[in-house]
Amino acid sequence: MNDERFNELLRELAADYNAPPPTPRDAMWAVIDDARRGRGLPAPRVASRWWLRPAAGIAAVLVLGLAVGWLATSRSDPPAAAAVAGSGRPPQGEMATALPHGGETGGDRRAPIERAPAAPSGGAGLAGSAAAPSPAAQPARAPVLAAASSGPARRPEVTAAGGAPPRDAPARRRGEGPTGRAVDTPPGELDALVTTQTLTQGEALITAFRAADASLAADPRIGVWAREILVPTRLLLDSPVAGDAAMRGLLEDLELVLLQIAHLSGSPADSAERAWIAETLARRDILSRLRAAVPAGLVAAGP
Amino acid sequence: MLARLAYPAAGLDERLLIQRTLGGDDLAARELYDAHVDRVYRLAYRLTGDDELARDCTQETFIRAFQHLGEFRGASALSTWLHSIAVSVCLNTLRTVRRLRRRHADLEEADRADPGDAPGIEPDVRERLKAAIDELPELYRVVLVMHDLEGYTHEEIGAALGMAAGTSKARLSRARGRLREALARFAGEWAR
Repeated sequence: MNDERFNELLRELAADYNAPPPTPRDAMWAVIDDARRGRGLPAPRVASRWWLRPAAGIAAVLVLGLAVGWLATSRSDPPAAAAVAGSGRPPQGEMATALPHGGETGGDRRAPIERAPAAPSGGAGLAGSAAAPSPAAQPARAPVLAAASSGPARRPEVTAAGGAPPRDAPARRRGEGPTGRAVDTPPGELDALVTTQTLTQGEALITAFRAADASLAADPRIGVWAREILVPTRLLLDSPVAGDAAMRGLLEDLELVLLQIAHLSGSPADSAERAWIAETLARRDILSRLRAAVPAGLVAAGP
Repeated sequence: MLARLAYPAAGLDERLLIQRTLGGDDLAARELYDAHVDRVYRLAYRLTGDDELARDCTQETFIRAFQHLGEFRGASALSTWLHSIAVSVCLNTLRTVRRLRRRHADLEEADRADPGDAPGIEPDVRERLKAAIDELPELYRVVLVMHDLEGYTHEEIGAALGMAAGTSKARLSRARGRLREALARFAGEWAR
């Protein structure tokens, strides 16, 4: 067969290669017109940041490892923690310096995190590690979880020295901390670990989402990732961990943002949704609260 | 078609439409869109083989075009400019999609045998041709699709892909050669 004949046959046979259907003019125009009028732009499809998920996983494992190590140390050294409770100052070497801490201001500054004092009966849990009404006055003892709330400064549930919880605190079973679990039992530690892991993953996802351009949001894997974090977040909302109002607020905000991200379809119409997510993140200061709450989770897990 | 009713002279000078579009005339924008969308969508569909991807690519092409319409100086035809955007958008999209699919394929490959490798089964020539086109290097495939399937001239292809028309011809020739080789293995006498 000569070239000409072959080319003819090729054209004939290839005619149904990816044969296009009728053009969906109006459907596409609706999206284009919206974008033209500034109601949103489509996500450009560029290389996705596939490395973010393993990186987030590694980060989560590292944080978990730190948490476990911290817990092991805490359990074997209750007197030191009690001394902290009494003095209001951390013992030497008891400052965690490796973890990020947004502080009361919700900023990104890195500061040493104070370990929680040992809680007496019904003692300090997630929110009870410390509670200074004026964080500016006592920056070193900033109530870490209080920063997890976007609202005004909250009253402490339990003071560092083991003061009484507020009247509006949710009812707890005997021997339970503010998390609703006995603070000196493994389930309480497990709660704290799961909380830490979930918040860490949430932080990693939101950090990635914010740092990336729109292409990441167009990647369907970002939705899968968000849904993966959504499950433990909802479980935590139904767990005693959510007994703490600040933590509940943070988890609810995280749930909302995860839902929004999970619902991104990658279509051009997502731009408005992404803008809404960005607004939610900024308005609720979620990233800073997450960063602040992670060390609080670790603190709470202590005996 | 509202735009067609508003601009019954479909051949209304494109420059005028561009000016009106830049001035905020929605009907002129729609007229420009209607004049070019079919070819852009067809090209996107041929290249991606997927309606959703083709829609995304087409939409993004026009959104980019409208965003940068003010920068269009008219040195080439608007269609050439649009098709160069379309090809760029499609290729970027395909690179991302392929990367994702490759990972899934790696996992699934172990679970299934390639039916084409089964002895005694004569492969369907059209299927083989489709597979062979899919396996062509990207720029060969784009040139083949644009020229043989969508009827672009080598000049148009060269302008859209940023290369000389002669390069387009050479790539088309190599693409056909590769297809011939690929089909010869499976289609026996047909391709000889």
